[in-house]
Amino acid sequence: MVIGRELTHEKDYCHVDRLTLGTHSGTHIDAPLHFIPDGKSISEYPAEKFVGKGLLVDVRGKMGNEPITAKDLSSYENQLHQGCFAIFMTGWSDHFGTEKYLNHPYLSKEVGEMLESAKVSIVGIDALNIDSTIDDPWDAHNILLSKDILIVENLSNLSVLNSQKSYLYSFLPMKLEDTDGSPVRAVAIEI
Amino acid sequence: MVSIKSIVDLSHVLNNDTQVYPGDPQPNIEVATTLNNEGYNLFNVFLGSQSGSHVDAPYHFSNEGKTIDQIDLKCCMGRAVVIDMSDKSFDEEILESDIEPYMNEIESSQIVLFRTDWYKKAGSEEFLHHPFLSKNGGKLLLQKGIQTIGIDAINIDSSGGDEFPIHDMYAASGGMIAENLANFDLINFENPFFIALPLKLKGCDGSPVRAVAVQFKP
Repeated sequence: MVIGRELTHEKDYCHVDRLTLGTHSGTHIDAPLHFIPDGKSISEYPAEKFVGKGLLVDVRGKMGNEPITAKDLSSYENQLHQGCFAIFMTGWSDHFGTEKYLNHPYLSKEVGEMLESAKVSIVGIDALNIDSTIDDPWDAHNILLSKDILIVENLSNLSVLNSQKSYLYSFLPMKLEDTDGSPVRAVAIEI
Repeated sequence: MVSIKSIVDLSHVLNNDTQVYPGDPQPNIEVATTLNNEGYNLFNVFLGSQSGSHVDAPYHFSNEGKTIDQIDLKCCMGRAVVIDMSDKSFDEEILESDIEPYMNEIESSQIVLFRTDWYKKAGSEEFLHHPFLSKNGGKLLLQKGIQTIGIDAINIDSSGGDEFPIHDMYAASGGMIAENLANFDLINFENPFFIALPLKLKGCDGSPVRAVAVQFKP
C-alpha cells in the first residue's frame, strides 16, 4: 500500500493524496469472488448486508496456529442467530507488524460448518486470516463464502469492547465495482 | 438496543469511469491475481483520496488541520437533517434563508445534508455546475454547532473557481465535509442516522467512504 502526494497546499491550494491499495489492504472484507468461481463481488451486496448486530466470541488464550474448535464455540451456540455477525476475538491484533502476526489461531473446519448452519451473515476476526496462514487449506473461506457469508479480517481493538453490551457493527466497504473485497473502517457503535 | 428498519446507500459506485474533480487522480481498478493462476482473486485499487463519495478532513484545506486518521469518529456519524434544495439550479447559491426554515431540526441534529439531486448528473459536464453553500449559510451552521455537513454534489463550494470559503471555514473549525454523496431523495423517513466512516489512511486529507442513512425501528 502506498500513499503519495498528488496536490499540495503550496502549489494547488488544497491537498489531495494518491492511494494505491489492494482490495485486502489493512482491515478488509472478503466477498465470495475472492475464492469462489463466479462468486458475487462486493458491489453486488446492498449496504444493509454490512451493518448489524454482532456476537463477540472470546477465544483469547489460543496459541500460534492453533485451531478454534467446536468446543470453543459451544457456549455461544444458542446466541448465534441467523443474520448476525460472529466476531472472533483472538487478541492477535496485539502482534500486528511482527512475524508472530502470521502465526495466528484460525477457525477449524467444524467451526466453519457451525457458522454456516447457523446462517450468520458475516464472520470477523482480529487476525490476518480466518484460516491458517501457515498451512493455508482455506477451508473456512470456502465454506463461508460459498454460502454468502462474508469475512472481515485484520480487525483490531476488540478487547476494548464490553462483552455484556450489545453493539451495532459497521463493516461498510467502498463501493468498488466487481471486486473481490474492500478495505473497511470497521466500528462497533454503542447506541 | 435499537434495531434497524432500513438503510439507504448514499454512495456512488467506484470504477475506472467514476467522474472526479478536475485535476484529481482517475480511479483505476485492475486484476492483481486470479483463481486460475494464484488460487484467489485480488484487485489492485488506485484512487485519489477524494474519489467518488468521500469525506474531507481539515488538512484538505489547511496544513495545520487534522488529517483523516485523526478525525474523531463521532463526527462521522449521527442524527442528520436533510435540507431539500432540489429546486436549485445550475451554480446557484444555497442561502441562509434557505436554511432558516429547518432551524428547529438543525438544533436537534448533529449533521446537515444538502439534497440537490445533482448526483443524477454524474458523468456529464453539468455535474460540475452544481448548487453550492453560500458563505453565510456555512457561518450559520457553524454558529449552530454543526461540525459535519454533506452534499449530493461533487463540491460543497462552487467548482471550477479558486475560492473555497466553506472548506476554509470548516477546516479552521476542525469540522468534516462529506461530498459527492447520492440518493438523498431516497431518504423517506425522519431523523436519518448518517454514517460516513473514512478509511484510517495515515496523514491523508480525506478518504473515499461508503456513506449510508440508517432508519431505526421506533
